[in-house]
Amino acid sequence: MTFSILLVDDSMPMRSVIKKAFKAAGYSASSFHEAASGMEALEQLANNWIDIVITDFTMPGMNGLEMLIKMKQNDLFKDIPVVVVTTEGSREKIDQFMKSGAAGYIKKPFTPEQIRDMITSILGESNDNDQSDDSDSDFDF
Amino acid sequence: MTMTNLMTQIAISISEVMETMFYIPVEPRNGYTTICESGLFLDNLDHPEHFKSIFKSGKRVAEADNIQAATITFHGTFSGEICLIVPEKLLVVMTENFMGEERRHLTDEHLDGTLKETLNMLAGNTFSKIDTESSFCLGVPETNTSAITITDKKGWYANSPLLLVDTMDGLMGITVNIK
Repeated sequence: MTFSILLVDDSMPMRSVIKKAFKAAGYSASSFHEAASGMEALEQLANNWIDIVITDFTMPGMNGLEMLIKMKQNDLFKDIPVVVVTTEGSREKIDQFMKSGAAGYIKKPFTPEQIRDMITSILGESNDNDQSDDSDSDFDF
Repeated sequence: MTMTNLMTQIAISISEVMETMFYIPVEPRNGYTTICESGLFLDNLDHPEHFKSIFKSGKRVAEADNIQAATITFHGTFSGEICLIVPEKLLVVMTENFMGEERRHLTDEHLDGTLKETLNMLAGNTFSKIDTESSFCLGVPETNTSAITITDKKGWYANSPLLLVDTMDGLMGITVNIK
């Protein structure tokens, strides 16, 4: 199963790193959409099917928390899980994210395994690494 | 919070960031100095983003003429600015490791973004160690160093505490100014 993933971060290298972490976790066939701010992310959400949003907090214009609140106020977007990946580490800020409806929180610096574990807990195991041979499946035509 | 405590937390944070995200082991030097005392001159006024830096001994930092610097502001129980100074040679290695791309595929945008993200992670990690309850607000990292007085030895960065950090690919510096 593949997923449509929206990466929201004003740092292009960081978006690239998170994308690689996804692929390393086995979600290699997933499609990625990217946005550099909360406002851009809302536009992407309006125009694309998105399964999960991974967002930074500090961004120029609309930050990650403001974007999260906007999403939760919108009937079309409110059920899309949002994971916050940020340097913000205070208890107050983490509580703010979680109370606003974030599905998870990862603090930078992070390891690819942390990304994998968080995504797996939300989306479930990726089947990309499934080596089973389906040639005998009843559903083959 | 004393300056020594702050610089100690910065030393711990830069080690965590460099080792976790860039796979580069680092060795922060004990204590801290200042740009003036270190003899680290930042004197290329025509190209403030590319400093030439020379130690008193005449040895160039990381044998690289070009130095990249980024700053980030912070506001909380105390406020100020952190500046990260990295030789371009080291920054290229960091960017290669960070993005998993070969040097020939890297652009200035990649280098610039990596430098800013490094400083962002360093600052966020440092302040989350200092105070887990209250929130320090971080600004957006900037690499436009023409706005700061780092090129002027009389400027406020000249006598600000400077932490020197050794890596296999060069020496990096982190300086803090409390306003």
